[in-house]
Amino acid sequence: MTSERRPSRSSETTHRDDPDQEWVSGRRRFAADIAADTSELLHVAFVLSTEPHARLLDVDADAALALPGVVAVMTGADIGLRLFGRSLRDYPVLAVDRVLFAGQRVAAVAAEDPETAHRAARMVDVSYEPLSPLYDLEDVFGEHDVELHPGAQGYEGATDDHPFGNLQGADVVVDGDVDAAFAECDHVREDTFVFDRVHSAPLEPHACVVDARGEHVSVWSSNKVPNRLRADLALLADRAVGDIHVHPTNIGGDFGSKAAPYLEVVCLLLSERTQRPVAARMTYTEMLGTTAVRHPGRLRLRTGLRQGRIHAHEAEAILDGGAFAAIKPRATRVVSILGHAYANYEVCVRDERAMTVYSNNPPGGHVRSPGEFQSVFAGESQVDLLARTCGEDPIAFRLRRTTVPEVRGILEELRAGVQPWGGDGPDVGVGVATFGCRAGNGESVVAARATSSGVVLRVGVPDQGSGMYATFRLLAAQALEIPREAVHVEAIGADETLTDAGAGSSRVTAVVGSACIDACSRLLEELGPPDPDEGGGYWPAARLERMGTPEVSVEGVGRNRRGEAAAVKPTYGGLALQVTVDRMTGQFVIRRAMLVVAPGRIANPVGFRGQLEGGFVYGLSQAVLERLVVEQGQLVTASLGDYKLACIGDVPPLEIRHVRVGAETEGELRAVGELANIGVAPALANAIDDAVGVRIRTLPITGEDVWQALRSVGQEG
Amino acid sequence: MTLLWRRPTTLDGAIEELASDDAAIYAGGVSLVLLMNLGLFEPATLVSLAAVPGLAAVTGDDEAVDLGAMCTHARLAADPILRRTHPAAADMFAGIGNVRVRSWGTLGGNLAHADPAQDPPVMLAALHGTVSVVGPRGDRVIPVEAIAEGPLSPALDPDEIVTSVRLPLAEERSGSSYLKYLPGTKDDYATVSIGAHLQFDRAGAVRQARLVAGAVGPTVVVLGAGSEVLTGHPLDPDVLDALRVAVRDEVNPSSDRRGSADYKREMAGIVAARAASACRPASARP
Repeated sequence: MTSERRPSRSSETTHRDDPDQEWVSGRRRFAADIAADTSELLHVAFVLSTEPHARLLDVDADAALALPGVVAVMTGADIGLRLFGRSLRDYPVLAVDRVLFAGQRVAAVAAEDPETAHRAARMVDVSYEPLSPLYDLEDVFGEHDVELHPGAQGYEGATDDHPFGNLQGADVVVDGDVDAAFAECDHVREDTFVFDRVHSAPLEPHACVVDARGEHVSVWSSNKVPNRLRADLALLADRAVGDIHVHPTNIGGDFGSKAAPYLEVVCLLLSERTQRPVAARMTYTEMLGTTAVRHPGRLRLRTGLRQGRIHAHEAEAILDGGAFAAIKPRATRVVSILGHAYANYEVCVRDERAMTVYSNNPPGGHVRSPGEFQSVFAGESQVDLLARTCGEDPIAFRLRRTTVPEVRGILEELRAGVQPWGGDGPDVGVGVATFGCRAGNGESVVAARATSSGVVLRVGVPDQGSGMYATFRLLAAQALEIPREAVHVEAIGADETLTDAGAGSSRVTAVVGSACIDACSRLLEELGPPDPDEGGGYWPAARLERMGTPEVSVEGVGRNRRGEAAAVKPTYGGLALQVTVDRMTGQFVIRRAMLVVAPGRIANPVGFRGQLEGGFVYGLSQAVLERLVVEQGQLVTASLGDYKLACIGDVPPLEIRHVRVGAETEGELRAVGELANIGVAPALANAIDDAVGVRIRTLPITGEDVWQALRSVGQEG
Repeated sequence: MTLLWRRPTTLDGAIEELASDDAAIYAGGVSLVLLMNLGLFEPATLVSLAAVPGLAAVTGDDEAVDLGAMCTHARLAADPILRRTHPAAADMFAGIGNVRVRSWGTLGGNLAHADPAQDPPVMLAALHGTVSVVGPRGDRVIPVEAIAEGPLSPALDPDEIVTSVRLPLAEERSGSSYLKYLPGTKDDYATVSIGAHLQFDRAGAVRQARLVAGAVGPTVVVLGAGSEVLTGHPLDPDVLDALRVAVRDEVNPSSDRRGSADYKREMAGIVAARAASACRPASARP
């Protein structure tokens, strides 16, 4: 490896002071703030394709280059085909000969100020020859000879099983002969659920600053996986990994959006070319049109009962993956949509299959609970329908069939909790759903150093806005029996010396938190246990002095590998909603909500509650309010004025309760980030059915859907 | 491109500034700056009316109340005169958008933006409001419902300035209401909105009705047929249902993310019936 001479780390992005309050005080600094303080900076604006599917004939930048203040224009022809992707490299940094969705980056303009860059980007004249598009699943599976990725087999990460041209990936979970099992059932029902596209919608748009003057490259970016960003930049910009320093940078929200190098590669190349530092920041229209969307598609569930037991379950999911698979991390190129419906119940035989297909739409990504959101909606909706078939109360039906002690405890608590809600007049209903959240796979190393003034935890994972560093500090303070103020978290950005899988997949608390605890226990091995006679407080100071050493350094490891005995156990939840429905308009109002959680160890009570409340609101917003409209490949809801997120007035009163099942759960770190959001849609659909007797099988659930459903059965007001 | 900022201190000065090419009035900027940020509107000069005296007052006499064009929505929502004379209008202002919009957006800016989904033109047209406009070719007064020619197309010349809105005082035995149907977020634009002003006779029958709909056409729509259905009748269920049908058939909405055209038509009828019902004087309500 090349020798590294890193630029000195500026104090602006290392978190040596109490950082926890900065999130709410406005003092926290993000990539765009770094840009504001960088002199000689150039600003980049991208030229986005206006065509959903076209051959790229010509990119004429003469007019843009003639605009005063424009320094450089970069096109795909300039840099050639450079493909990025998490498990499949199929996404060009800049389009070269074809565009596959409206919004794809075609060229980049660097200018002295952002306004000039954007103005010049609008002046770049791109000539297209439109090609036949595939807009939706009907198109993809219809009669045509369109192959969106004819060279798919040559992509890095490509697999051999490629039954047809526009398949992104497939996934299967089968544990028996489902046809034989269905033949033994005494009742079978089949339902198809359809879900529309929603956006990850983090508050902070993607942003970066790249300085490639000289020998080394400095990068500040909102990317949540700094180690992979560095490797990607090295690969795609033909640089040695050791040349690239990804500085620790705060991230203002992620929700699955902040993992792809949409901006950074081009900024690096433009910085090399211009010998100026270069910054880019997406507009929110660019965010909505080009960054992670939840996969739209459909999920057909067929489930059979035999003597009251769930005997056979079949699922078939078809998802629109959009123009590129690149931003999905799973090797299957299918979001985690299988195995979640009926996950909390005893099912004799399962046969679940899913596929993702290419289309000329914005690429699908891993939006908070990427497939669980859709599949738990379908599964927990169908559980209610089966309960109705059996003439059983929905909670009792679930209680009789769950195999999970935590879910049993949650259902008992929900039953007791909603009992006082009952009898509240006509067109009022209650719906419940149960669900679970598992920490993702990954490994992280945390370095801990005890000095006379405090303990420093060095971590690779960036705080994406969840306040995870506050959790690490609390964990260390508890493990070492020292004041929280004596623990400092130092973010290091990308660094090959500390393994880190980045933020995501509800992994951070369980994996990095465990690494913090492991590091602290190793510190205790070195220092010896705290001694009450030493007077408490920050006791390691006196201990180090007695040991005659200025500091002690150790490393701790945390990991999760699903399927292993030591894997992090799931967190379970249950949600009950009470709604009233206006039969004349179909409008429904959620009057109250109760979320019951069976948690592991609650390391940071404020952060824990924040994840539950935030998850609930996120789920509510996506279940009811959000819809990213793309018509004929063109983004229609192109601003936050049209793509509406929940506001505070939309949030009903939420009561949160905990249940404990087994004393051992109190010591285990588990996942919670992608728990609460997935329960809202099914609980709501179940509540609406309970109120007015119509079943909504589409997401988002709107008043117009309910009105249409009431009309179709002649039950409107 | 350089954007010039002008802050005249007289109305004549403002009119003069507006004579320059691509000049636009800045009266809060809520909608204007949004359009500029989206690159849809690129004025060369912004003329702020903030320093022009006399545009931000609410005054009343024994015939009407005058609302200054530079009053913010928040100011009007809390105005003691308006709350007394036209409480339904004050409530309408209190329900616009969100607190940020209400704190920056102004009445004149709102009307001149000519967006048929905005709240003020619907309610103020129902209340027989008139808009005072000044310009280099003289002053004129136009009904609130006539201030828009189409979506974002005001019936104003670029150098004309809205100075105030005049609302006649309500007659005896009358009631007003404004209802907007918000099936999405609470700070969204309405899927359909209805402003209603009804005058009753001593027997409780409607003597005169004025219903105006928002968000269901290119401009706000004065519901002639709907008003006719009510006139001469008490607000009994049959009459309200006839109103629902008449309004449903009178409006011409288009489909968008807030609802299909069919749905909006049906909702316009339902909301109109509810708005009319809410106009009953307190003593006449069941």
